[in-house]
Amino acid sequence: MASKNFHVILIGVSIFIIIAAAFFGSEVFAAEITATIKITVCGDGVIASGEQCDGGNLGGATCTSRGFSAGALSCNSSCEFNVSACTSATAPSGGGGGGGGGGGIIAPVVTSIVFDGRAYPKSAVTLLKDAQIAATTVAGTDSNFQMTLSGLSAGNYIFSVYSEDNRGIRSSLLTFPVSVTFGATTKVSGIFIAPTIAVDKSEVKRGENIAIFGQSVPNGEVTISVNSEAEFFNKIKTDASGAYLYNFDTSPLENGQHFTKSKVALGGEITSFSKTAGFTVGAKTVMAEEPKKAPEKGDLNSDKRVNLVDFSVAAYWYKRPSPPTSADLNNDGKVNLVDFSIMAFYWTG
Amino acid sequence: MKTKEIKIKNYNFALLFFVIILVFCFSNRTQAARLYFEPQEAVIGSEKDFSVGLKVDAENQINAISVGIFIPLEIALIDAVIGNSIINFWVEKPSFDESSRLLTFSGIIPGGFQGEKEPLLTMKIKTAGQEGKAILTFNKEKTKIYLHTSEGVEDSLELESLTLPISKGKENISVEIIDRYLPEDFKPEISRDPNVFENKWFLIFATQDKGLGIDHYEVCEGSKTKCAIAESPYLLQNQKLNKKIFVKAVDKSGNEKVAVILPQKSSLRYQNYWIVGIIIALGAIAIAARRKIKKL
Repeated sequence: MASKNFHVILIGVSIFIIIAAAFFGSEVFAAEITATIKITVCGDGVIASGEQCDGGNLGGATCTSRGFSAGALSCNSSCEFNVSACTSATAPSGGGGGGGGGGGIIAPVVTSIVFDGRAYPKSAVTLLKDAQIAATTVAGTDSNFQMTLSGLSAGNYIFSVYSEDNRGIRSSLLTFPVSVTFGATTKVSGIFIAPTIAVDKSEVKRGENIAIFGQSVPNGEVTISVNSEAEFFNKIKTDASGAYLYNFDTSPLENGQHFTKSKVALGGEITSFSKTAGFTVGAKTVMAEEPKKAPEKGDLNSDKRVNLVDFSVAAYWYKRPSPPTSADLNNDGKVNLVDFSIMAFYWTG
Repeated sequence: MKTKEIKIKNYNFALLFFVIILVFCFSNRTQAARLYFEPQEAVIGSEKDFSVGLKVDAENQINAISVGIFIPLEIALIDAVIGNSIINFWVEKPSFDESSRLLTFSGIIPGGFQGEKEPLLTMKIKTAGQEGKAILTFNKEKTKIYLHTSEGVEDSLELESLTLPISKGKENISVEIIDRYLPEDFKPEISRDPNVFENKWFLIFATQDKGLGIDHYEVCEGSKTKCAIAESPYLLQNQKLNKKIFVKAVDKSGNEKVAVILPQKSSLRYQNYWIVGIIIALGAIAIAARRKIKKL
């Protein structure tokens, strides 16, 4: 009887473990669902989502189906219908002379890429192509931005985008590989730059509030995560300027170092997590310094950027004896690939 | 009775063991970067060149890679093509050491990278001609991938070697990359640093070529004809910075892209000062001479 009970308990425990595993497993996978970037190619003859047509592929559309009476429908370089050669039936008027045939113009082959996304209202947005600055723009008041690069070669590129909030704080880099097709316009949409984040105290007395703030899109839903033994999630909305502020009660946190990060959702799109901001819960309260605009590490020439100049200085010291401390980013007495990895993390272009 | 209890217990432990395995399989998925080869065909012929791509799958975001590949004696490495690589900056360009038979390289992807089937390089190889097999393997000591973190943390790695049966007399299908593209536009910069070249002016440059890759750079100071093969950072010979600098990026097909840096300190300006000075002096002499003539 006892063994039967033991058997039943064991089966119960097993089922519980399986359910728990499935539950936590799905939690893990849910946490991995982050920003989704859509890449469509205009010029490859395939009508993708957001395209009316593509090259010679009109998807069965004609001038008649577009509300005209006759003519030749075509597709422009933005994969939108070109109805300029469509005609509407009008009452006959005086006979006009027939126009001469136009000369044929061979359109130049353009390989380009268009980036559409969201940053912060009126923020500076920087686009890196293969880790070097390729374009900059300023987002609109709605935080939307668009950038176009042309004259590219066909092949694989690594693009990165980042923005700076109204306090000059840089977002994390959003990086994605894109395969560019010769003679086609590749459209990258759904770019949603992660919010910025900062805290008002470097150390906070347990039980007091700490202000967690930053910037993203207007009216976005911010999820703020504060890590402890258990992770705390709090939600708040950004205001019309995209700013958010959350006063977090530190009572449930144990003494010690903690980190907070945030992500923002709007219109079914979600950013990846922001950079992390650290603070200590302890016996006293210490106000935080203004967030630094310069990268924490990797800026070897102190120009507040981490780019090819810094890479070159580090490359000079690669495997050489007695490198300067500025180039030895992990302080192990040598410049090796670990230092370059740290530099790549703080890269700004 | 005793045997039944033992059987039940065994059954229970078997069930528990099964559940643990199940839980392990479902909840503890390993997240590692995978390096593997992608040959143009499953069998390599003894005639003509053969291409083998080296690719990476990165489940976590990674930003630095170093690789060592052992090339067996049955195979000769003809070239390592880096044209379409996801590596943006090479810390060590691919180089082959004949004695150790190791092809090594390292580089970084600033901002990090996460994805599948992305190319690192393509090896052009050729067999020695005899029947058999060739096994391409990774040198574990030299092959490392770092996560995109602030501390330079190594990612766990799955390394897949490649066994290529060699078919004697079989002619490999020729895979030629026609490099129609010039190297990408680039902007070299002049810089100085107390820790580099004794604080003398140096030049930095880097670009990509989406065809066969960059072969080399040339720096020409003052004239397009006075060029030297160079690597970044390059110590400038003309430390006065008063002459034009031309930087040529040359790809493996010989296509060139030239970037020009204008003189930082114009020597022409100083030459102009001399000319102006001479004109003023001549003018003054002329006026003085005229006055003298008038007095007479």
